[in-house]
Amino acid sequence: MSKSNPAVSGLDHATRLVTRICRIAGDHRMLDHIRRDLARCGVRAAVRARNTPALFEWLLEMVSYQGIGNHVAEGYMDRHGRLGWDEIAALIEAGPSCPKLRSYWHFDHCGYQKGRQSCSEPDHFPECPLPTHDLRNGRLNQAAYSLFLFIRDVADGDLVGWIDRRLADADFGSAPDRAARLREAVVEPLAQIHGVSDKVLSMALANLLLGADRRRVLWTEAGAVMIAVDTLVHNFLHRTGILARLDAAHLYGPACYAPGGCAEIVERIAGNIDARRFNPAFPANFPRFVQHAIWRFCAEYGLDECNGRQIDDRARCDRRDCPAFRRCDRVPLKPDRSNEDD
Amino acid sequence: MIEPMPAFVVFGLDPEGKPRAARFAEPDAKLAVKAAALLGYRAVHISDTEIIEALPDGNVFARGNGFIGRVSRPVFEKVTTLAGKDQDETPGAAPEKAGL
Repeated sequence: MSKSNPAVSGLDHATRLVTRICRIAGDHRMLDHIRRDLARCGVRAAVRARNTPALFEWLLEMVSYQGIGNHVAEGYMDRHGRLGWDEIAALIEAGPSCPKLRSYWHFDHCGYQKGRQSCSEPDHFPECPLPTHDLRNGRLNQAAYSLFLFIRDVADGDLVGWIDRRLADADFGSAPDRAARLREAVVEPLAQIHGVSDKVLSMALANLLLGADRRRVLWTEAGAVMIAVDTLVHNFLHRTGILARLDAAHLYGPACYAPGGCAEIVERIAGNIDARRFNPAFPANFPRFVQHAIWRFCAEYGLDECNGRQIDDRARCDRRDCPAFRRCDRVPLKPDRSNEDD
Repeated sequence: MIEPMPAFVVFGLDPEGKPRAARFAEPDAKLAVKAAALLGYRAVHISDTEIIEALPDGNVFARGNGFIGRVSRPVFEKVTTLAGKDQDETPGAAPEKAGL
């Protein structure tokens, strides 16, 4: 780490670097943009009206973007249709024979595979409603039913009311873990739904909570601390040397959300950055804004600065025109060790 | 002498006949009763601190076998005995365990 200065702690270094990223790439009108997008797709009206079917359909659409480019997922849904709450409700109401469809708690290890047209209950497969929907893959069919059953059985059919209650129950005191407590009150239960990744869940919930209803203060507070870690964010933390300086090196994946992982690091950095300097309407502690700024800095559809297309990851980055070059440790992501001696 | 606070416990045999049991925090009790009823488990309040400490924490949001964990046969039998004396919270518990 040639640029490490023992006088500057890893967190101080990260804070300085990421503050610069927020200045360059932060969406200073982020809340306005989220509210506008949610209004456009009817989510704000759905929250006001406590319209659970509409919110289910929006959430399922968000889950459909998981693991693939947005335009591919959207193209598939345009061609093959979207799955609605009423459609699943009618099929479940009809009382399918598969025991796994009895309740949210029964729906485990369904094992439906679209390509093989198989599942873990082959005797019930011919009559099962779950495979009848032409979604992009079998995981999405399972996610749709798992989400439906969660809302019906756990949230008693009222997703907005359930979120209100969960956040109200976690709303006590101003201890340092308050933000994490509010976030976990909603994320932890929903993360148990089959086929929904932490990243997609955090992204969807962050937008929903931040933009759906500004009168729901706890929603805004919880949404502000939801962080979505994708490969761009993880690789940024690696390349800049933030992970190494914080002794937190790990591979991209579940470790990013584990203690000491990317999500926790972004949250710690964000705790040192008062987001009101970028927009007085922002909450002071705004990890979602900080994470989004990092993502925009890296993404091809954002500033396109720090990604695998711009950087040869076998060696130290040599992009001197990068706005973060001077502060960056430029740690290679996949160091080329072919020239090293044994 | 102060009586120990009774803990909320769900227990029963899984589809493979394996003993399962777990304790739940009071705020989760309502949902745990609902899940227990659907899965065919029993839900009771138990005051025996020794046995309560021997039980794993349950998770009302986990599906399938994640809801309550496996326990040893002696612990299960102790819970069953205590449950016989304590009030059953599961409304109309039906042995409908298939499909976990």
